[in-house]
Amino acid sequence: MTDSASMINVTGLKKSFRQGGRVIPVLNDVSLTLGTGETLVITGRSGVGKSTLLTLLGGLDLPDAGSISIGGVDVGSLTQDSLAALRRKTVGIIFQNFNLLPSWSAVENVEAVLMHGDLEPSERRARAVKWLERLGIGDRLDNLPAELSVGQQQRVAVARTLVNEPMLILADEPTGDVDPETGAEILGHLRAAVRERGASLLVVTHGAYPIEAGERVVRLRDGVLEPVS
Amino acid sequence: MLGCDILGLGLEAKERMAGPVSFRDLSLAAWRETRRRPWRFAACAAGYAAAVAAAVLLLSALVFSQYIESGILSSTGTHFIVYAPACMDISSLTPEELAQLASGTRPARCADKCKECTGCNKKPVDIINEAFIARQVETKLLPFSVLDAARKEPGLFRGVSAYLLYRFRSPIDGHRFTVGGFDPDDRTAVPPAVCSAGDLVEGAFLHANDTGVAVVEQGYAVSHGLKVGSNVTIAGWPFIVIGIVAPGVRPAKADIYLTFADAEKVISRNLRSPLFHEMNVMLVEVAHPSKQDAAIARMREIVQSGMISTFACAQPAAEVLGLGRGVVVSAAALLGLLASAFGLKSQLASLRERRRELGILRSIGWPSAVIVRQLLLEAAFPGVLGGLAGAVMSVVVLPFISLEYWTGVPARVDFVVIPGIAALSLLLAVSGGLAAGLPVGWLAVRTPPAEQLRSI
Repeated sequence: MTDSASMINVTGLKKSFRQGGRVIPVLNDVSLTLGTGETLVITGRSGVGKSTLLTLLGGLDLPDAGSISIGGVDVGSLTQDSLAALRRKTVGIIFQNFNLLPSWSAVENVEAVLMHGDLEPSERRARAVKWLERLGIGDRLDNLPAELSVGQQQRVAVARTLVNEPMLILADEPTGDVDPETGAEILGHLRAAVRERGASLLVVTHGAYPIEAGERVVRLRDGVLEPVS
Repeated sequence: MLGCDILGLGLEAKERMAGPVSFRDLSLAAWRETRRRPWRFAACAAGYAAAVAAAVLLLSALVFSQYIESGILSSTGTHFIVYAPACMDISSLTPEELAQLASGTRPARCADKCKECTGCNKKPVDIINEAFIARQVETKLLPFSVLDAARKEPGLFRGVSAYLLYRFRSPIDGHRFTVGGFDPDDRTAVPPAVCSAGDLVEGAFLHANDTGVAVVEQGYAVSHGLKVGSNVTIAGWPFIVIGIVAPGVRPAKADIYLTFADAEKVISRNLRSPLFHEMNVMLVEVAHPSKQDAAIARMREIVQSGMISTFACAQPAAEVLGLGRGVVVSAAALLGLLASAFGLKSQLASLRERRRELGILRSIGWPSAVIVRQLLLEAAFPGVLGGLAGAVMSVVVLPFISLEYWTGVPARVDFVVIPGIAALSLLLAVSGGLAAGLPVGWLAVRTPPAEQLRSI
């Protein structure tokens, strides 16, 4: 794969955290590429830095060293507002703990992503409702996250990510807290985005993941990525 | 390379094209936050309400006090009198020197002091008993030109008026009495220094065109058996008493008051040469109490010869009242600061709790400016609602405050609600809310989103 076809191009990525005066290295020389319309699954045990890698790719944090390029643009050179635009227009992130706004209803959480666009409030609402219905929670539109089950919250988080039709989807344990049937349903929606729109999908997971043909899998261990046979 | 247009990564240009979050959406978000923490909102709004109500109360008190202050100062001491003491105490002269002076010759030992004196030729014929006086001091005469000079400066002098105050000796029984001559039409400089129609206890007051009539001070009238309608003779000139006055404490009081023209005539009869466009006292009303010092200084420049004795009763009063105004303004400002500090504390507490939510908003692409606007709006909410409640509260409560009840003094006027003050206080409350929101917003957007998302 050439650089020109890469959605993500990461080289020599390093990240460590300070805790109680100690430096804890998490990512140590991570390099990866993800092409347009490709799916990459990163596995690894809990705490190895999968979520940290995902936040760096989403421009939510800065690496200690290395470079991240998304769509050919060096993320490190972007301002905070440009990073926000990147997340708003190109990158959709599904967080492990969903990160739903607690005082916003399910439909409002999904609408929050669309508030910067040119859509009229009614169009915006219709689009959010459509995605929530598609994910099977059309009857819980006005419920707050605390009033939803874990699985329902997961669906809201997925709807919020997909409603904006991002070209890059970063999913952190997208099926981690749901039953196998719901998990399969969620994966179906993510794969549909890849298949139908040519989006790129990067999934991090510590559990079993039903790999489909054409999907690459790598493992994160000791701060570096290694291929999985 | 993948095209930026495909990815929406034209960034700067695209960023400009991004539709802003509408005010409606931000307001709804702020309202959600308000609903979520109703008690914090209520406490914050109550703080602003109390601050606004207190500020309206204090500022209304300030306006009220200025009203009263103006009344007090204008009646007690925004005036002064100007006169030039005579160059020498007559009683220290020898009989020979007095005879010289009476004949119009300047005594040798007066030569140094009286070089520029123009008053010697106006000396009374009875130089021992009669004199131009002011505040028990014998005075020189002043030309009318000083009046004209003062009248050219209305910014300093609200009114100036000529006054003659002369001590006569009765040729019948030898008693001494004073005659004051003024312009009865002058309602500005004359009343606070001499007397006015308001001081009448009986009869009528003088008018500018009157002649042959007099108004007599009550004490003098009683001691000399004078009543309205009585005749009184001054320098051989008969006057009918048309009124009795009791002016109280005034700096230029006399026993008998005449119009300036009549006083000029009768006094001139007892002088070696008649008066012409001259006075011995100038009555001055200052434009404003705060200009008292400047007015006195300017008057010293205008009246260069001799000394000027002044009354500056307004000065200490103005200082004391000014201090009160300073205290009120400071207290109102302090209240505003306290309310803002309270709002800031509340907003900071909210920020700590909402750190993660702000991280979520940023993770889904909300720009920093929108986050700051959102936080400002949330901060302004309690300021607006609390401020409105405080303004309404003050408008409802203020009219029921009776100053007479609280001070025990019949105040004649009570608090008046001034809409402008209520509006200003409301504006200050909203500004306070916004001021409290600014540092909160700044703190919120300078933290990396990942760090905000990590917080619990």
